[in-house]
Amino acid sequence: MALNSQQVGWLLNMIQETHDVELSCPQCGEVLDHYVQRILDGEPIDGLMIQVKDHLRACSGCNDQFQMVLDALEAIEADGE
Amino acid sequence: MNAPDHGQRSAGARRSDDEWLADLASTDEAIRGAALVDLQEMLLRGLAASLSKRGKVDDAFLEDIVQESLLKILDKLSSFEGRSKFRTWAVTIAVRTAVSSMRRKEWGNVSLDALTADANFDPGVSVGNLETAEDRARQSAMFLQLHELIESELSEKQWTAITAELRGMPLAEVAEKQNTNPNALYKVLHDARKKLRRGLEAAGFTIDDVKAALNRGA
Repeated sequence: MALNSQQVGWLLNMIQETHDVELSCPQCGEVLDHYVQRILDGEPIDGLMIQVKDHLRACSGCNDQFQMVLDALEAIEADGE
Repeated sequence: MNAPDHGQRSAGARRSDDEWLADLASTDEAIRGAALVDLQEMLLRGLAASLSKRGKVDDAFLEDIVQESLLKILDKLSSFEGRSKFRTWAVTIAVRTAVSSMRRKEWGNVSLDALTADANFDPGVSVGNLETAEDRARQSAMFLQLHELIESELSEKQWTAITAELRGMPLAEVAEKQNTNPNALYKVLHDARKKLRRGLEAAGFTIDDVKAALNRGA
């Protein structure tokens, strides 16, 4: 079966977000807590963290994981912990 | 690190990072046990909220995940570097554990061959709302080029990995089914995407053409 237009859209997004140097999903996962902390603390995204940001823009799986961490931390914070 | 004064200990999960580390590594069973209970409650609360947003809450599943996460956190405790707060570090481990488990549950029995066997790219597909004949012609020409690149430049393994991902199978699951590791598979995919991007650019299609197709509502 041919890819549908939505899947072709995702394929175009993959191509658009392709960089010469990228982090893989496991590499992104290894430093995700660092990136989350920078976001929470409002610290600058620089160095390796730029590659994490790029990876999250291109990879829906890792981006979901990132959002889940933020949601979990927000719920914990809201509970006053 | 100073020995924590238990008389002035932060209540519940409001421990400092140093307190978390000291308590979880304590040889005093009462202190360690209390810290484990606090950590367990904190992870349960966080994961329950996070997963419920995605409609995936199941008490037994949550408890299993938190138990598995606690073991991982204790195992990795000595490698905590302090580049994030302890809470952020622990929650990230728990979310990763949950995601891996959900992946196995959802995709473990799905055949990669069945998912991708008939996948092909039809250059006649239309993406977005193209208003002018010129836009339609430009997209059509780009898709013809893309089709040619897929046929001539990509290996079967690369196309299988791309289509599996486009059909929702997580990369880690594809890697497992292809008996490779996620880092190696990521490189295979990255090489494939670079070939497609460079091939399109070499044929005169810029990344702006790709963005234009996406921005028109793909």
